[in-house]
Amino acid sequence: MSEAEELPRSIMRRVVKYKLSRCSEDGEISVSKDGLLAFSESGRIFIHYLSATANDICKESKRQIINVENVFKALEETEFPEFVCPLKASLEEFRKKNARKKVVVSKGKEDEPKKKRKLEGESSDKGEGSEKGEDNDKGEDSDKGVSGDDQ
Amino acid sequence: MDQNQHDRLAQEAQYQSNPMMAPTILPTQTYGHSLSSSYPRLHPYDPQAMYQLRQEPLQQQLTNFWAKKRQEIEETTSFKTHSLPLARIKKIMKGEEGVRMVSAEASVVFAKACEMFMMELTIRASGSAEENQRKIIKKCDVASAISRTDVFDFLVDIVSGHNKIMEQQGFVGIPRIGTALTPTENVPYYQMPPHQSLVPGPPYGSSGMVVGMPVHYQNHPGLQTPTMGPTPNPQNSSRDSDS
Repeated sequence: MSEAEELPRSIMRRVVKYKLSRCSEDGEISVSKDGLLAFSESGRIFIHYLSATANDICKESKRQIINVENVFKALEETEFPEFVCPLKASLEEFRKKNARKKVVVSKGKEDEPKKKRKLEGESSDKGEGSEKGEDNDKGEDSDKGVSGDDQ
Repeated sequence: MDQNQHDRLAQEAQYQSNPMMAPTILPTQTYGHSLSSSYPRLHPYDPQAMYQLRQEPLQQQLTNFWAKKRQEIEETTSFKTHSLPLARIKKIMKGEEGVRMVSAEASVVFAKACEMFMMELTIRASGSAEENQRKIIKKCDVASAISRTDVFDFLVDIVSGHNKIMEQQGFVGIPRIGTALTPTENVPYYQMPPHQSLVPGPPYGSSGMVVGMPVHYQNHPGLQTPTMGPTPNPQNSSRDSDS
């Protein structure tokens, strides 16, 4: 608990480079090492700041668990209201992915049928394609989480 | 195959005495029958027609296939870029005093919020780098972007006192925003804003979240002492100019 946790720099670099490639016209801007460290520190402080605000809102409503509504209110209080709409959209996608995973697990099918099902899903609908992308993301999250614990 | 079909057509024509019956039974015979009746000696036309008929659905399938593949690639690329470890974020959240339990959905929202925050900071830092005609973003660009934006006030002391905080991490652990504040350190920094014609407002003062958190309580008087209370006009103007 007392140890200082940092956000992984490889992911930070990926996020920063992704945005730079999108917004800059020539696409040649990069980040130095101390700049990347500043981004990582800023992200960590942002999480601290937002979690403290959300926790205060959670206490006001006299509950023990921070939920998404507290987070949205915290974003508005910390003057980041423009984040709320896209965050709600991504939350809906996350919920769809979870619901879909539960259905697959309840049926108890093997890997190959799952892959075929996902492939067919992609051919029929764009949303399901995006869900597959998030599946990959979650896999990476769990892997890096484990590596973090090992460290 | 064409010869076989031709033979079949010939045989069926021979067997059936009434030629009018053929089109009602088999639709393919209609096409062949009309060709044979109108152009009895132009048999090479058949393979071309059949080849064209087969080719059209194949081209459509190929077009659809590659369109789907392109969409798939774009979606995969865009989603793989955004992946922050949820366990790490939970640890950082629990480092804050008073935070006990966090729902899974809240962690996901925090991860997305942090990504969006990083992207916004990236845009502003890249603008600062371009102003200095550089193509590599340095720490001073990030600090400059933070000092220019009111909503990033909570990062001011962290970035400016970066070296000190790194030293403190060995002794204190997770650095508190409150512990990082010192009056002598803040006074020279806040002399900068008047030159930039922006007055950074303390976020805690505006939000009014003082009770219940010792860290916030320490921040409140420290931040308010060197500067006046924030006015909504500078924030609106800064936001409009930024966007």
